[in-house]
Amino acid sequence: MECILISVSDVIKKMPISKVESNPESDAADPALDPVPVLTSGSVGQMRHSSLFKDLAADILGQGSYLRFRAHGNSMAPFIRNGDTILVEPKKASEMCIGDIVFYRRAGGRHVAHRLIGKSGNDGSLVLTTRGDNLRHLDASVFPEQVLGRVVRIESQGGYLWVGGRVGSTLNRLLLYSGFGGSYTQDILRRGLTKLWWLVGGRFR
Amino acid sequence: MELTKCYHKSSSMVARRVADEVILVPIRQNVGDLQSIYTLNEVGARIWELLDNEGTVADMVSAVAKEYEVEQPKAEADLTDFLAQLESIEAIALV
Repeated sequence: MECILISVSDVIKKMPISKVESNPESDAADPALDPVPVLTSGSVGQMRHSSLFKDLAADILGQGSYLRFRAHGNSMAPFIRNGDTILVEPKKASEMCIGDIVFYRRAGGRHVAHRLIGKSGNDGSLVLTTRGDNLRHLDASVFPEQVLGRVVRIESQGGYLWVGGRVGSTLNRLLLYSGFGGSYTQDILRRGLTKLWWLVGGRFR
Repeated sequence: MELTKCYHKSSSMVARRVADEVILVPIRQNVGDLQSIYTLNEVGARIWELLDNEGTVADMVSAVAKEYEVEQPKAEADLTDFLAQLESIEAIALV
């Protein structure tokens, strides 16, 4: 399963602030046809390949703001689990460090947050190599124009972990190297480090 | 609400049209949170468009009453209520 493919599709509509009022003078009136402006609050659902998610992510990160949304998938488990909420900082490909979790858009339109394990080339021909912690294979090469930002915070089960600072970068690298090769032992080590990191660096409400 | 008031859209709100509706994502403390969004229905989306004209509330009432063939008092009541809601979530502000 691909990780952090998020998108938007079905907006959950709830808590209408303004409800359509029926016309007491006409039982035949259909409230659905009553042209009343309605504002509803909700959240963005999960759906792959959503052009809306692409647009919103590009708009928000493009103006220099952070993007917060619910991740979907297990390719970064246990570091980021299905249903965790992540915060993405706008960042250029050239500013990424090895170990960072890069948020980028694939050619097919899917959005992915996978760990950066290699950089090659210079500013003009930079190519990033990424992989999900829980995957054995590398992703297709990532080019600078695909990169939207990096994950700096993970919210899970009532707590959160900040991975945007120097300590976070160091631990990101530790996690990266512990997972190289994908052997059973390395997998155990990676999971252990993840738990330890959450215990030491996690903030719980 | 005075009908001579003018509103403008807030720059701290990212808006995207989806079919007949408009999705609003508030930018609070420099974070756009997709878990906390607002949706405007078709009529609300039309009013969101009318806000681009920088007209008065009265101008918008007239446009809504004409386009949706509703009586002026009803259009005025619905629109002022709706604008107050948009103002409360800081999607718009007085000029």
